[in-house]
Amino acid sequence: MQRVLEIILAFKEYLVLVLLCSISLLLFAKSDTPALRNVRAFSVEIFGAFESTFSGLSRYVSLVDENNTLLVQNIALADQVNFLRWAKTENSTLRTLLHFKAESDYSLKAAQVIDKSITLDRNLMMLNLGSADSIKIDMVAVTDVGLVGRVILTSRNFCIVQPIINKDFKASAMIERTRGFGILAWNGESFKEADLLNIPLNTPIQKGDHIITSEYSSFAPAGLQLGTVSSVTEIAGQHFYKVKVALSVDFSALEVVFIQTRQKNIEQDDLRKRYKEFQ
Amino acid sequence: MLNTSLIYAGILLVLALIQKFLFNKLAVYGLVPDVVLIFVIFLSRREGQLFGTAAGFLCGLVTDLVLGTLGVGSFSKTAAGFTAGYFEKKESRNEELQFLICVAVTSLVHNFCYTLIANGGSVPFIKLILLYTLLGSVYNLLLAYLAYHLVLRRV
Repeated sequence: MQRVLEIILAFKEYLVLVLLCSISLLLFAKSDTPALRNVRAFSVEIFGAFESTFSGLSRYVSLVDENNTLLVQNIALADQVNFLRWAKTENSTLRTLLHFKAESDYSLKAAQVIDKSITLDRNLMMLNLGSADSIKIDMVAVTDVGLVGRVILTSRNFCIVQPIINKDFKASAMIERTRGFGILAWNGESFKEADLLNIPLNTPIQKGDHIITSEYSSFAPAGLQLGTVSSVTEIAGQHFYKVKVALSVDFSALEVVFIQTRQKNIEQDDLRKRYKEFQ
Repeated sequence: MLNTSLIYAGILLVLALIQKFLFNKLAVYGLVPDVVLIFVIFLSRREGQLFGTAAGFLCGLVTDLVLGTLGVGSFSKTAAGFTAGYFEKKESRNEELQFLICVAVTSLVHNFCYTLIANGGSVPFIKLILLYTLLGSVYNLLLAYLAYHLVLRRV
């Protein structure tokens, strides 16, 4: 016993290293379990409150700047035309958003983006809507120009959206003109472009084709705009095209999004689950 | 010891927030300078390898909760704390050089572990080594140089 204790003490650093690394790997493997999701949701709630405050402060600071700018512009009447042009553009944007909300087949809730990243491999966005606003996991975030991403985590007042520009994001997609199916995925290179995978060489596809979500998507309704084909390359010895898609949504300028509050088809989900068990 | 640990915990929370709100906005090709890693290295050299390993795990866990996927940061920062423990702080004329060498080596280990677990086999090995591991370490080295001259030299 004494000898065992001596060995443990002699190698305690290594034992602690192995133990803590094992716990970390276990956390990584089980990060999708309800208990750990709850822990993440709790931390999102706390840090969401911080982020909300910071974004409020930055908005306040930008308002002060804007007022100063307007004062200068009022003095220098020559710049008034520029200001009116800017107001007209914003008015037009807001009108488009209102029109989109009125015309949509699904119930939409407007949410403000309070934090986002666009330069990382696994970009995420935090919105100021949460489970208290009936936001649930796998609901879809959209704008008037197309799909933004899917909700992957909710806390009471905030939710996290996994945008298209996240390496873990995949969506079943379709070429609108030819009805050819593929998978939209992001390779981490540019926040303006994604890849359309698994398009066989016999599928008609050309630059400018519109890409939309397909009926096979497990979370998004069919027909949402994803982008347009920007290049099609045939690679020698391969059976699929290399297709680049210019994304519809400008993620760098995203400030307001809508969450589609449609319910998941529980019967379909149940059938998929039973099929997996059957396999 | 309890008081010191509480102070370290407070510093960790502040650094995690600074990382999220400031340093994460300085990403270049997906690489960000890691101020929490510098803190783990500082702790490991100051308090010893065992403390550094445990502190690395806790720091990683906090950053995982704030920033991303559970387990990735805790694994890589545990390995980082353990590695930095081999460069325990000693009184010497070359203290700055020792610290920077420690940061370089520990960053290499940390970035390699982080990218390997976070991306699995999806990143080509050359890209993993050159971009994420080596360039990421250079970025951390710059931050460590600044941190040493602004704060750590006086501690």
